[in-house]
Amino acid sequence: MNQNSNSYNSDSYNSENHNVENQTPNAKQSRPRTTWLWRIFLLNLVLVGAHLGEFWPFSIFPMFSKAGQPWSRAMVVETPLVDSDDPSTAQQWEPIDWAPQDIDILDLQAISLDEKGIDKIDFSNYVGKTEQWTPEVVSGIAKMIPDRPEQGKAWLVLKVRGRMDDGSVSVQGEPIVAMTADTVVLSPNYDNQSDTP
Amino acid sequence: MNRAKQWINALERSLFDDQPICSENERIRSGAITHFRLFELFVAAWAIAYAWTWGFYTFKSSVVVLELGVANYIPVASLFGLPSMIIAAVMTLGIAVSITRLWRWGYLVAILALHLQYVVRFSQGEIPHSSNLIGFALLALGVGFATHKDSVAQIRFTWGFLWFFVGLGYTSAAISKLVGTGITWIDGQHLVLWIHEKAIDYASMTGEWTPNVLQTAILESAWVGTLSLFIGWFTEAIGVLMWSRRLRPWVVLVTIGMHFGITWTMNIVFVAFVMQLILTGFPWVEWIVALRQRLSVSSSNSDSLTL
Repeated sequence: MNQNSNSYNSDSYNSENHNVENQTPNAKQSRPRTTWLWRIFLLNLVLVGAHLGEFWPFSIFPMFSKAGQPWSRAMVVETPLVDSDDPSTAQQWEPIDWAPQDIDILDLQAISLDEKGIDKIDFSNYVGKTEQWTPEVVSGIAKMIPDRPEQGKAWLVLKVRGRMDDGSVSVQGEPIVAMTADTVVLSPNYDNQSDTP
Repeated sequence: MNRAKQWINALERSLFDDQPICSENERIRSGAITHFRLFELFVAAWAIAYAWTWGFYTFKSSVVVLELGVANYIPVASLFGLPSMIIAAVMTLGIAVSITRLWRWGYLVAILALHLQYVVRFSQGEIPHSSNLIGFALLALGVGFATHKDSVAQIRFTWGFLWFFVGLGYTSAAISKLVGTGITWIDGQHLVLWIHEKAIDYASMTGEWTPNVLQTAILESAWVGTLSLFIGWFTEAIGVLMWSRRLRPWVVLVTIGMHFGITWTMNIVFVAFVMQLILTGFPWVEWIVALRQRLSVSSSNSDSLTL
């Protein structure tokens, strides 16, 4: 990386004022029209200024600029089902705690969406941005996840929320939908409707 | 005013003069041309891959959620599917005619087509920045070739233009963080929050997540996170130092380190960025010349042995 050892055009580089006479013959004959740099730079300023900082490939590169913002994601976890005398009734869901629970990221075990051919961002957007959990939306989850858990187990679709409170980070997962071998149920916190696709 | 003019002259000298292609040494000039052709092939390969990948994705799109770039002015929903294949074909053809030196305006056509393809593909809500460096490179080739007939001037303009926008982009990212959050952006708890977010993403994708050594250190002590964020922010802030040819390899080296740092802390991989920085930021011309010299010496040695 010895860039000093090959100053290809050291006369012009070191000159106080730009002077084409000081350049090598090659540099003198073929100097680019630098005004085009400034024209495009001005165009860049106008375009990003008029389009909220984005006009590909021009950008103000705002990624991660807003630190400490709450976020929402989704994941699917497996949980054992508690035996019930009448599995066809909604009573079987009573043992499931639908309340949001703290998640320890050092002990994360989830159902791999990759193995099921589901895009994690699409899934997170679907779960995170849904406001009205209609039977059709619940059905959409059931279609997205093509297979079902074994008998006696449930897959819980969690809406995971992360936030900073007084300088400490907390992550909570709230079950939204539960899937068993033969049913898909929406959390009673959102609606009491259930769907059996 | 005079001082501003002097500063602009100095910047232009730093960007456009003192390049290997200006050398009186034939071997260095030849090495510079080889390096530039490799760079063109690299940009062409990525741009073509982007154009077709984005094009194929649009077959799944049905509505425009986000209007980016020219999508603010034209109905890009009508370009989903088959029309986006035509855009990809035009982009590919533009690159093909310029890289083979049949028509110097081809690169300009290609960058305009790729912009259109980008806004068609990313009309679904996501704004990725992973392709911006390739975009700058194709724009540099487009403007450089369209505005110059002389091949040496084309090469000099392309490099100077590219480094101007790459350096500016990194510094702009650092400024955005100051504007978006302020000096508290470097608080290590922010990184802890991002690590948690990426951990959920990773576990959701693969089924589990285990922190690496750096992530463990940051989760255990927010000070390590603060130091990591400060180093990252500072590295971005000095991006404009890439405008200086002498400082460029060192700034590029720490920038590549920053990208690896982001990968190790937040599982975000920067393949195109890192490859482009490696290919353009280091003294490849010197290395090509040295390699050719070594090869010619070894071949002349073997010839004399045969004789």
